[in-house]
Amino acid sequence: MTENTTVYVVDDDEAVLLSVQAMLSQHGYLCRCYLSAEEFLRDAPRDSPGCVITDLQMPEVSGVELQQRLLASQSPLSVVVVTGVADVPTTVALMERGAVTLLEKPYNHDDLVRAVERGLAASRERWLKRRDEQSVLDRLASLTEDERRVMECMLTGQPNKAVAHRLELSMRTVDRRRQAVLEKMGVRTAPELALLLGATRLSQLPSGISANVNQAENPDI
Amino acid sequence: MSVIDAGQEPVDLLAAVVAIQRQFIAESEPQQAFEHALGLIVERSRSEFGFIGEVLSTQRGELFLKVYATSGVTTNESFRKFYEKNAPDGMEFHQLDNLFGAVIRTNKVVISNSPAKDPRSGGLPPGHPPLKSFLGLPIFGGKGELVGMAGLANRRGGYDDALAARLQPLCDALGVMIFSIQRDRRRRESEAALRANEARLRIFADHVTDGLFLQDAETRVVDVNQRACESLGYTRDEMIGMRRADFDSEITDVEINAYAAQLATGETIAFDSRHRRKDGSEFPVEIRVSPLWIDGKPHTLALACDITERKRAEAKLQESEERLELALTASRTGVWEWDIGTNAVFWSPECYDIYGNKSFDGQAESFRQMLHPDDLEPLGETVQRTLDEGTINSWEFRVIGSDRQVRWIANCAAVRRDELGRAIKLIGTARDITEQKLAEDALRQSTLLLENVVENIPLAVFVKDPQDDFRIRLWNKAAESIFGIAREEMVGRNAHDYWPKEQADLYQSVDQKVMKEGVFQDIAEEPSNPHGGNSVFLRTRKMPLFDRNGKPTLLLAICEDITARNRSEAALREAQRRLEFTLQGADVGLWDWNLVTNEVVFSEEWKSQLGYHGDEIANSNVDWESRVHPDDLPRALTNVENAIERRTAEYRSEFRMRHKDGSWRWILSRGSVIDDAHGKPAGMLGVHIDITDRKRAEEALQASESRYRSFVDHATDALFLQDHTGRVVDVNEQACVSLGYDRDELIGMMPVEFDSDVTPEYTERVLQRLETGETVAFDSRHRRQDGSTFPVEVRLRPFRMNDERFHIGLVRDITERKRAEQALRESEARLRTLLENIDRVAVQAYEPDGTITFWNRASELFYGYSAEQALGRDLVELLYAKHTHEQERRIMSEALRTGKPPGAEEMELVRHDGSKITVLTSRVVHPRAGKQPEFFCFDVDITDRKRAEEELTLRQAELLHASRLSTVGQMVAEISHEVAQPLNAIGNFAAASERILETGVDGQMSTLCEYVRAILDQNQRCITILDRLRDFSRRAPASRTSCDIGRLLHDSVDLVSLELRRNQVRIQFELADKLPPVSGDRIQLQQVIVNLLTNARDALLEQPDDRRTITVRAFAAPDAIVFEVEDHGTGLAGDVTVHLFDPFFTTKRHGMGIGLSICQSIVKDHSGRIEAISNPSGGATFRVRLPISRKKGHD
Repeated sequence: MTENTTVYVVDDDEAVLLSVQAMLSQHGYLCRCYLSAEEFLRDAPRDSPGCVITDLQMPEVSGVELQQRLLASQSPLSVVVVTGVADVPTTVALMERGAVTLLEKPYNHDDLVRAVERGLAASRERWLKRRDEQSVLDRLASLTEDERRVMECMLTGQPNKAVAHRLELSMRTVDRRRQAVLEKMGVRTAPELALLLGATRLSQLPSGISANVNQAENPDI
Repeated sequence: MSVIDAGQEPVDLLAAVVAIQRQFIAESEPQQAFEHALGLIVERSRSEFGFIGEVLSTQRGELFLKVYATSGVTTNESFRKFYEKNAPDGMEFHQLDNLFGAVIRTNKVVISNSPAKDPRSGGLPPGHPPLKSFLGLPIFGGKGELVGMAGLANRRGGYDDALAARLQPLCDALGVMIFSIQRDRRRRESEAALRANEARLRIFADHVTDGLFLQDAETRVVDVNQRACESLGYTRDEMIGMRRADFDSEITDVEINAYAAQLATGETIAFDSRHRRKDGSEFPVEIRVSPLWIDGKPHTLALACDITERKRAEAKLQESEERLELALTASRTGVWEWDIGTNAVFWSPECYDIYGNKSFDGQAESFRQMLHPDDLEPLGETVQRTLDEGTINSWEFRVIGSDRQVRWIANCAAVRRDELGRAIKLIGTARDITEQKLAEDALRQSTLLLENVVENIPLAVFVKDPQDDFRIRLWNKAAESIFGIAREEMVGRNAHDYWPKEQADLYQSVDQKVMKEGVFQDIAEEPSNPHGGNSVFLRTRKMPLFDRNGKPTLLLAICEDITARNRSEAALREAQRRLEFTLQGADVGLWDWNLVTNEVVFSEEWKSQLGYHGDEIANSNVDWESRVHPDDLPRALTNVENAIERRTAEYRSEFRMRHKDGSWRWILSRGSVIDDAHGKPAGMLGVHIDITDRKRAEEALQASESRYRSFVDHATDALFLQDHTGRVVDVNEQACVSLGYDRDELIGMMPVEFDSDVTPEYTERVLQRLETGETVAFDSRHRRQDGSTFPVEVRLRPFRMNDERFHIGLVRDITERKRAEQALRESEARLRTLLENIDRVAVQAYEPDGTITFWNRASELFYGYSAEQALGRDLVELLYAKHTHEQERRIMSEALRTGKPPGAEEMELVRHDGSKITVLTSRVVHPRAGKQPEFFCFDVDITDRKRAEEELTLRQAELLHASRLSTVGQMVAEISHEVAQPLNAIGNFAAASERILETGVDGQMSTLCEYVRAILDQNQRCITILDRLRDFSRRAPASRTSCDIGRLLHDSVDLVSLELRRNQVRIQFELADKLPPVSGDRIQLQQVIVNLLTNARDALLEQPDDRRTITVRAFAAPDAIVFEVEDHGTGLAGDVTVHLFDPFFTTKRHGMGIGLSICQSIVKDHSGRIEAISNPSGGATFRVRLPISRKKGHD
């Protein structure tokens, strides 16, 4: 368990809140408690993994809305929902949006601990992936406009000569820029570069590139 | 340099002088011209050096020299030093005891060729260059006066007069120059003086208190003084060029022209106007304008004096004058003034006396405290009205003076307003009207007293209005009883409405006479029976009532019932008549007829009856015969003959005789025949009585009699006139018709002959009673001629006529009445049977003291007493439980006093066997003539109904319980959630504790304790929830306890809080502080609240989240507590509200429609009210009103 994996408990019933905190802290989790969803959303971390245990029925912002807001802000946090009464449509909607699980009160505390464990693992995974993606994006951002054009050509698999012709550059210049691209992107070969960009979520790539990557990966489309 | 050439020199010199003069004129500084001239002189005279100066005098008249130019000073160092030392004030030399001083002193040329030895030389000052020779030339001005001098020194070979003469023209030119310098200087000085003077004048003008405006012909401002600027707020520069109209708000062009015309004649004019300041404000000014000419052009000088203060003072003066006027017009009247703005009250000295308050401090509040508490409000309203309407108003009110005396004050006030019409002051007068008020009171008291006297005097008093057809205006109590006509019936009617026309006409003719002649009239023995029954004899005095002007306006009648006195009075009157007859003896004519001599002696009276006296009539029988009416004469003569023939003791004859005036007089002649000693008639002695009046009356009477008879004959009742034995003397037509006899047949009959019931003995008794003057009435039966009989009511009344006693009998056929009586008796018997035998209603009659007089069969069944047992007993003792005796007797005495029965009420009474019976008792007070009223009780047995009601209450309680259970059923999901919360917490805390126990308690003991405490807390929370639920769903008998509505509302909200939270519904409490408790059943009231909350919640479900608020409100109203549940939901449709509380009416898809119906029955059961209100902003409010519990604790 890393120190960045915090459990956030949201419940408008103070007794329940304190009991969850007592139980989880005895299991070694770091707990942060909130009496309302707004309070939590103000405090919610943007860029660290964790798990949220939230009640469903709360005044003002409900558990459902809390989950929606987290999704909208691309938070890596996992959501475990607990509730007294839950109807089927709400449960389905929650699960479809990626809730770890939904526990009905009163629940077995082991179930909660297990759900939290799962939620934390999933959140950590999401977070790490996001961090890698960000790194690629950073590297892409470090390319100059000329290098970027050369890289686009590289991704379509054109040889240097064709690139030089297309971009009306000398072979030497193309080669130099090609080396700069590989160096800045932290890869050694063009296929490695394609692999790196392909692993990144397409939506997060600059528009021009994503189109090219698509072509590169799915030339038949 | 060469010696001056005598021939050429003058020409050169003149040219030089011209040049010098030209230079003097051209140069601004004369200095250079002088230096030029000096150079010329020094050169021409071949002197070593020289100077030119002006001779001036100091203020003390001491002459001195002011040097304009010196030569050699600039070049010679020793000269320069000399000047620095000796002429510190510039080039001025005041020391004149030397050679140049000699020139100034003597005005002559001074030549000294050995100055060191010259006595005129004062010796050279140290440092002066050596002086070898000296020439001093005086310079004269245009008028020959010394204006300056020139000095030359050290000519080689010395100086002489010829040289001086040669230089003369130059000196003359210099004289002109110096003169012109002096003239310039003088001009400058006088200019400076003038300027100083102008400045002085301006300061003066600026500081005068009036504004000065110098204006040209177009009223344009040419100049103004400081004061004018200040007063108008403009600067001087701004003012200059302004026209009068620019700052004068009142003046018009027409006026300006008129003024201009007036000014043109050189007149000074004055007028008042208003000036407008730069800031727009205005102030009044008095303006005086005078014309003046400047540089040949007409100007005006206007003096504007600010008269704001004067105007104010004038206004003040005017006010005080008005105050004075008011004071003068209303003498002995205080004047006061109330300043509305400052609320200060001014009192004139009189006011302090009038209000009886010497220490009044002038504050309106103090004045208010003086007012009589009862008059405070009305006075305030009157004052306000005066201020609003602005008219002069007067009012009366009471004040309490510092001596605690109450005074009546009459105020008269007017409103003073400012220019904008706002009321600023109330000015008025005050007058002490206490005396007047007291007098008024006394008058009112005395009027009241008189009214009482008139009302209660045993004489009938009534007032008629001649202007209104003699209708009755006043009708007192005695009049009511004497005439038997109630006041309400009589007032506004006249005699024609109640009396027969003839009688009423008679009354009115008397009335008219009274009013016409203005004197009273007595009507004695006025028979009056407007309503039938016994006649009453009355003596009435009618008199006019005069108004203030002595004009008769109303007729007052006072009327006495003299029936009782009638008899004796009649006798008295008879005696009186006799006396009168005797007294009239004087009017009786005597005649004495000697049959032997046929001589008749007529007394003087006899003659005067016929209008004669003395010898106008001879003592002869012919004189009598000739005057008797020809128609009467034969009868009269026969009568006389008969009298003599039959020797009648009493001769009586009536005939007409001619009066001297030609009229016929009726004469009654009575007499006796006197016998002589032989028994033969010797003469007749008799009297003549003028009976004309009587005869006329008789004739009138006859006419009246026939009228009367027709009236009597047409009366609907049969009339019998009987003599004192009862024999019929006369009858009317009706009597004949009813009995079937002729009038002649009936006359002479005795009552027994047509009255089948009357026996001779009875007749005798009736006659005896009649003899005492009594009116006798009895029922009998009359028999017709055909033998049939019919019931009659007979009323007999005795009266006297001509010393004889008669009876008048009024007989009415009462067949119809008898029939009605019979019907009534039968109906009474029917009712009695009914009351006796009705078996569902117990009827008792009893005296006010409780003695039972009637006891029907149902009463026997109800109470177990037989009629024999009950009659004569005390009802209260018999049926009422001991502790209710007193109350029942109180109810009875109250009913007896007011004559109104108490309302129907439920009572628990005691049976004979001691068991209880609940009845609904209605009481009736039955008034009885001449006796105390009788009470009736109608009792209905409602024991069964009571039982049914109790049963119903029980069923209702069950229904309420069922409904609560149904509510609980609906809440199950929410309740389970609510219990789930603490259970969940318990689970988590237990798990945490278990973990600690597993891993070792070391160092975690306090945490563990904390967890266990939390578990206990949450356990308690579960218990509370379940308790609340159990309470609500418990079947408990309805009980009344003192309930805190605030707590009930909170508890009820707790019950449904989870449900509300789940639906995002917020509760807003608006509970007033310190609400008094209501008496009620906690659970039932809670049921009402929960129901209303659930309804409100349901109504909000379709609303957006931010509108989902329920307001729960409670506040105190007079005698009640009101709580409301308000939502902003779908609201109530208009047609819904009508059926809202009907059972099984619902607008909800899944509703039963029983909730609000139950709410209503619960609230009604609590003597409260529930209503639904549509909120203007949408949604509905349910308002429950519960009476405040009077007692604490259990009811």
